[in-house]
Amino acid sequence: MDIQLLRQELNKLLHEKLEPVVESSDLNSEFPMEAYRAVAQAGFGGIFLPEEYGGGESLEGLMVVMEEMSKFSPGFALSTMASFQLFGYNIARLGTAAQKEKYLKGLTGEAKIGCWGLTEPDVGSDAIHIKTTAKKEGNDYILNGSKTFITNAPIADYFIIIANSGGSGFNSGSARQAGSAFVLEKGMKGLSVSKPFKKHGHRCSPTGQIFLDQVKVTKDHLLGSEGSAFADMKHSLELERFLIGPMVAGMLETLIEKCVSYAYNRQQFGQPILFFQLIQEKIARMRMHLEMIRAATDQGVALIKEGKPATNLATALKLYGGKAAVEMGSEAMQIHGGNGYMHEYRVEMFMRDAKLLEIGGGTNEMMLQILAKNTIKEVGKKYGVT
Amino acid sequence: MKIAVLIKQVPDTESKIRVKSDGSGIEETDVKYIVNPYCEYAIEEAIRTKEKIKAGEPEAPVATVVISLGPDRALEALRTALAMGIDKAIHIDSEGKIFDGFQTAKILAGVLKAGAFDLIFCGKQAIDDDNSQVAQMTAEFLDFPQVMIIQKFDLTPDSKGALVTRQVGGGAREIYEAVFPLILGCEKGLNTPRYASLPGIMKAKTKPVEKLKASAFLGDTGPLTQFIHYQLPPERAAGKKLDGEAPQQAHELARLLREEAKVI
Ligand SMILES: Cc1cc2nc3c(=O)[nH]c(=O)nc-3n(C[C@H](O)[C@H](O)[C@H](O)COP(=O)(O)OP(=O)(O)OC[C@H]3O[C@@H](n4cnc5c(N)ncnc54)[C@H](O)[C@@H]3O)c2cc1C
Repeated sequence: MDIQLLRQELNKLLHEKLEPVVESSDLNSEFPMEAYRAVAQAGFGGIFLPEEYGGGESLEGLMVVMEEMSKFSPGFALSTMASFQLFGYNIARLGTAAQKEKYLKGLTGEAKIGCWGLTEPDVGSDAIHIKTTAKKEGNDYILNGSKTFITNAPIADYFIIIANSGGSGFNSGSARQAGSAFVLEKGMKGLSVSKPFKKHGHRCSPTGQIFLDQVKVTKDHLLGSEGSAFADMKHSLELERFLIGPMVAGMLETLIEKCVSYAYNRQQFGQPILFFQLIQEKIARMRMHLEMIRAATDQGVALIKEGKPATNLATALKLYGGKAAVEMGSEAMQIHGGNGYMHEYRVEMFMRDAKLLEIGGGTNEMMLQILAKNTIKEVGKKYGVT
Repeated sequence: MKIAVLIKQVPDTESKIRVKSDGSGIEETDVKYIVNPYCEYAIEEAIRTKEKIKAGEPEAPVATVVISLGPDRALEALRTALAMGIDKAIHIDSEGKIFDGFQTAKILAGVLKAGAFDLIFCGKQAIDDDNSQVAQMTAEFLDFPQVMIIQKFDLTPDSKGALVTRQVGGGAREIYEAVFPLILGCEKGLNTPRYASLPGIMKAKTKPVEKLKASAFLGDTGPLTQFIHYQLPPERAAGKKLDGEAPQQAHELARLLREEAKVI
């Protein structure tokens, strides 16, 4: 993959199709469908999908695509990621030939929109205890329950739903071995979605609920094998955590550009505010985070490609990136003073968008818990910690 | 049919241009380079022409070749053209030299002659030096017909020539029929250049890039024009602030407008 050419051509496309609608789609909470179509159909969305389905099979490329989209609009990046990674990549990894043929070609060729539903009204961080059920009836499954906070749900054509399919004898297996994934499609009887929620940030990315009322599907709609959903999820969630890296890198790049140019042009006390050391300190810290995040992202790509364990790095980057985005988004607004508080300068949008990164895809507390658990297990062995 | 596209890599229109301190050129660090926008129309028209011929006759032999004279970075522009759909690239290394339009035309004519092309698209001008003369002089060296600033292009029914339209003063149109080999300078409005797609970018990697050296085609042809140095427009003088009460300010303003600015 010619990474430089990829970056250049995608940037050109985003500049023309996305940039003009970033502000209106944020203010009106509208999904920029035309820009999505352009990105999907030019193949950039499927950068990490298999080549035979119009993809690029490039992990470095995926990072570049995430970063470039996030420079313009983190919300757009989130929705595109939900479609092509959370939905698409899981189909590519776990799907049957027929599922891949249909859904992957739909994503790239027809700009269909995918989503991935795990979270439920009563089940968030403690994800394995989902209440949505899939009851086996002969060759069919009957799905019942609801999902919430699902990115793209209100506009999705395709759905991956994680449900409890029980064990041999419904609901007898332990929760971890009872999760199964199903691929559903818009228009199926009993499947409905809510309107997009009104929310703090990522406003152009529609988030909503999914309702399953006696949705009957054949075995062909099972994704992967019965009971393997939570084990299968580990790998894709790890990759998703790494994607926080390029997302925050893209956000920081835009914020740094905005801050330097604004601070140079804004004069107070007879000189550009850029010359005040208190302002420079903020810019220095943005740069510090950008460098650390880039390095960790590159290291993550290397580990994944070598097939080495990357859970701790992915978890650390998710935590570090989310915090850096929240803190630096706020500092960028500070540099812009009153103007930063106004929509027009498009700095506060990044600050609002940043907060999601501490919640979605596993909260900060969950990341800390994983790091603590792994570390204590690893180091504690020597000291007899059980 | 062999179709060539001549392209130039130029600084992005959004780049801030700084002149080197000795005026010998522009500072290249931090300048972003792009394919000259008029050359993008040329690339697009070449690809469309090939697609059109192939749609009617899938087995028809049609080859598209993009050619650029310039330093190593010109390869980026060539790769962009390959990613859009051109089949092959030729990079003519300028070997650290800067040529005037006449020398550039001489070099391009040499390369085009060797390639035996039927149809050659180029931009009507490059947006960096705005010379608008290379294509015409290239045609002269080759003794080919040329039509510049074209906004519409069609092959003749026998595919041995083209019907092209150019806009002239007052909105009138000139329509030319010309036979191959032919050089055409493309104008905005001819088409909408496509975006390179991901499959296009991936295929570009495997397409051939031929390397040539400018000196091999230039011979002892010297320049007709001598470049002396670059100069930026003078900085705008600082504004003037008028003191005093409103009536005095108005009075002073009127005086300055009449006596200094000489506009009233
Ligand atoms: C915009 C948006 C898009 C989303 N997109 C998707 C999607 O596409 N698909 C999907 O499945 N989900 C999605 N989510 C859901 C997201 O993954 C969950 O919100 C997240 O996992 C947290 O779950 P929760 O909201 O139920 O919070 P809870 O789990 O209720 O947590 C509330 C608070 O308690 C803390 N907490 C919980 N347990 C512990 C503990 N053991 N120790 C210490 N603290 C704890 C949490 O860290 C948090 O601070 C999205 C959410 C948002 C906001």
